[in-house]
Amino acid sequence: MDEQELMEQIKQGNEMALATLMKIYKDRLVNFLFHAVGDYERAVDLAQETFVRVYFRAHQYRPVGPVGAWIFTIASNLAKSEAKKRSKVNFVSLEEVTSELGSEGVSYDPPTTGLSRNLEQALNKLPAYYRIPLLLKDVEGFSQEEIAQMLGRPVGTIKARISRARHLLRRQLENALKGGK
Amino acid sequence: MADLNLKDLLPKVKAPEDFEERVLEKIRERKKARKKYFLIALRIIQRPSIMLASALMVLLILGIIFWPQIYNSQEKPEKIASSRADRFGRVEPSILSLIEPVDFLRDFADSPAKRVIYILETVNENFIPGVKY
Repeated sequence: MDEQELMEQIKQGNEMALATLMKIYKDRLVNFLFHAVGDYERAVDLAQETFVRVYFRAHQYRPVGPVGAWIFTIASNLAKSEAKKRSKVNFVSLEEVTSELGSEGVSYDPPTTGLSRNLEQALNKLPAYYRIPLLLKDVEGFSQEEIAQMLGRPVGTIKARISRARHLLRRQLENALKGGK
Repeated sequence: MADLNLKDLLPKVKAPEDFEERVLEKIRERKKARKKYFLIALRIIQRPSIMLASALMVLLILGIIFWPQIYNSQEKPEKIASSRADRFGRVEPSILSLIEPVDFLRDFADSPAKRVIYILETVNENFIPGVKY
């Protein structure tokens, strides 16, 4: 059964079809959202919310583009909203910190190599409007035209944002290397 | 970033084991919540007071929408008069004095033949040049 058929099944309320689709995309989606929001637990929540929306909004899907692009469009919108929320409220209560430290089942080990760690930190410092297109391009491998359609922006804007994001990332890595020496 | 491959350098994370179960659970919860809200909304709508208030609200809204049309279709007498005045040239509202010499014997002599009844009322015993209408 291909993805278009799976979507047709999901439109009819078939939960097994959704489970099959989740098996295909869950790891990619969690990985993308993790780098987009910088928090594993939140990334898992957002990935789950993405699939909940896929299920309830399956009737809105038009089979003109790939299913993956549609799923990543929903995920990108959620990541953008999350970034907006985080920019407004940027504090964490002590109770949350304690509970997070004690939580189990977290499938994320922080990178140990210097470059990966620096890269992750540099990526987290980028604004969401640079970070998300960059991740969609360089990590998920979507074309600039696809990203433009997914984010609802002109292709020129996306090209500029990706280029600027790469430039900023490079500069931050250079600064980190200089500081480390 | 040709020299820096983000895909390979960035750490990779995977979804937790129970990812699918949690999503399906969320979907079931949301379905239940939707059903619950729908039933609550239905119960609220079915209450007589709410129904009456809704009906009044609908009438009020319809009244607001259609009132100008109804109002304009019922032309006021003053409006009709003014429109007639406009038709015959503008006439300022005033009392016009008219002199109407009437010879009763001649003018009303054949009134029984015409089968016309004139009801006349004496307004003044003396002769006045102007008759007020």
